[in-house]
Amino acid sequence: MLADLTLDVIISAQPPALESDGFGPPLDIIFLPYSKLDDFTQWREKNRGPQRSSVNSLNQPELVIWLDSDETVAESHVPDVHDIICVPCSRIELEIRIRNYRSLREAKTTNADQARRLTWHRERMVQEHNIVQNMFANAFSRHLVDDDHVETFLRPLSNFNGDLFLLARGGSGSLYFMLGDFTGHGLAAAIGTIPASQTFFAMAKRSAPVSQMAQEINRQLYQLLPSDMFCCALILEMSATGDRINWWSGGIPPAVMVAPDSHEVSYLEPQHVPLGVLGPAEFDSGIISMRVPHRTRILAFTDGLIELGIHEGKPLQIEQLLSAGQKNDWDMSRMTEWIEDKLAETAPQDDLSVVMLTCSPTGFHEQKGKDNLTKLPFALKVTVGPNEARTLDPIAAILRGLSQFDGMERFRPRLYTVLSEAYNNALEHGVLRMSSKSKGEDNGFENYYLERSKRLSRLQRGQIDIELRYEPKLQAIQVKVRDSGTGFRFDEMACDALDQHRGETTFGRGLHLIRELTRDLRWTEEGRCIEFSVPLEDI
Amino acid sequence: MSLLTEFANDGKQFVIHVKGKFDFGMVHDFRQSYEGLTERVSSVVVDFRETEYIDSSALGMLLNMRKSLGAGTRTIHLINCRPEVRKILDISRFDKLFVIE
Repeated sequence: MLADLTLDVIISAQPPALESDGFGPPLDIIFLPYSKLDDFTQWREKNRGPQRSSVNSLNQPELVIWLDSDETVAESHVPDVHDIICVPCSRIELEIRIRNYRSLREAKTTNADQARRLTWHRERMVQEHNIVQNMFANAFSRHLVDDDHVETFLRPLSNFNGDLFLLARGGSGSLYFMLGDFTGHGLAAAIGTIPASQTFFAMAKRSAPVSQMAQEINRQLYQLLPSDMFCCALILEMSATGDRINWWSGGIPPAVMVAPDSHEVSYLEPQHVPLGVLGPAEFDSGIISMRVPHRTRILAFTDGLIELGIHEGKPLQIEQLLSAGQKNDWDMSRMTEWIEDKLAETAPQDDLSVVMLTCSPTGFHEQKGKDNLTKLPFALKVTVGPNEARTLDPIAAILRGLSQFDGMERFRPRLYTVLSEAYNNALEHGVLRMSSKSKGEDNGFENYYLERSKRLSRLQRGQIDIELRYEPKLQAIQVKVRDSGTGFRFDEMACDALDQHRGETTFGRGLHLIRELTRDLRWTEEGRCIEFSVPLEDI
Repeated sequence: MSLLTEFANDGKQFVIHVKGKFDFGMVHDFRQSYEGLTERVSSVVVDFRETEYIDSSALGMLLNMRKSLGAGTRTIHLINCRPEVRKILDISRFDKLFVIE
């Protein structure tokens, strides 16, 4: 009779052998005579383990066709199945009960499948969340922490912050910060913080001007973000001396600048539209550059602060912020308490960031590590002929070589100045036979260098020897620069005269610099060779 | 590009950034950079943050600029000088002619 039914079930005419492990094709329906009841019970017990969850229970029959007429025996001995059908029974009844079982089995399969899919998706989400969190952590790993000039109160609305606060030490000893507020909040808003932060840190490291930084971050965000997303921002640089700030501001609430002592307040009014709105051609990177007295404080914040209470119809007014500032002496820890109190009164609707900068010298230069000078004595001799003088930059090449020795790098600027002065004197006055006096005439300075270029291009003969010798115990580099010219002698009288008229002339300063930056200056070989010693001491 | 210029403070300040070596190789570009500044520009800033070395020709260029812009009528600030650059400006007593920060 079953053979007539087109049922999608697997049927076994016999209970499985006791030795079988229950795996293999799912078994749906079993014909069970009373005589095989014990074998079947033992087999089920053996194969029913804790791991046989409802998902795996499909491996065991759920529908038993009981081949004996006593139904009560079957019900008491075959528990935990969906249905027991005692035969004989009508074909319609059999069909309905088998179909019913099949529906249940299908529902179970679907449930199991959905549970498996949900688990997979949940695990994938956790994994992706972790990856993204790691990316954010790495993106901000260069953020400067524990700097005395800056105090912050940062309160994102969710795990991912659409506000952005970045702080970095500039390569030239200045301090950079960027406070940004991307449209919206959460992960979507936070995505733009990754490229912005990478550009910020890279450009701060090489002391890029604020205008260039704003331009580059704008370019990246313009390309990356959808047109309805942008970043309101203040990018500010405080000079190493702490008395100048350069800033670019677009779309962000005006930062409050508080004068020391008087507590007089002014504002860093935003000058531009936010970052990411205009294409590079339209973007205005104009900055404001101003001198500020030490201990000036700048309180910058995102609109999350002044929008506190907006949903209760009572947004925080800027006047309230100013009054709280005055009352709390613009002390950031007291201001933070005041903000915390406000947050207790109203649920924030946006990411909230408040940053206080106190202007003072950064002291970053002093913290630079100083390598010990090499203990290896060395000497270097370079001969420059007409062709080398025309096509190469001998001083730059020498300095590149010197920098390979331990501790020499930091003396490069000084060595450059004195070597460059000595070499140019030898070339211009010794070999090219030029006079500096023409520099004083109208356009003389530029004409002088045009003439230098002309004479150099025609030069057939002449030579300059540059010798450097380093002795570790002297902590100095001995320099000799010899030219093939007719000789020159530095006139002390002329130098003294120049001292008294500094600022009036545009020439004669080179030798003066050598004299001030070196020791034991002298001319030998009838004025064709200048010798001096460059002390390797920190300024 | 070793010379970059920009206007700040709504066009009232002109800023020249000198990158790398500030020497005679910049004579022409440096002079051209400040030519034709309008009366609106009340101060000029030379930003040395990216300047690695300077020599006496750079001092000459600065003096020429001061003269060309009408010595004393516009303030010229020399800013973000590294210690070695600052020393050279100090040796030449440029603090009497420029505002050195």
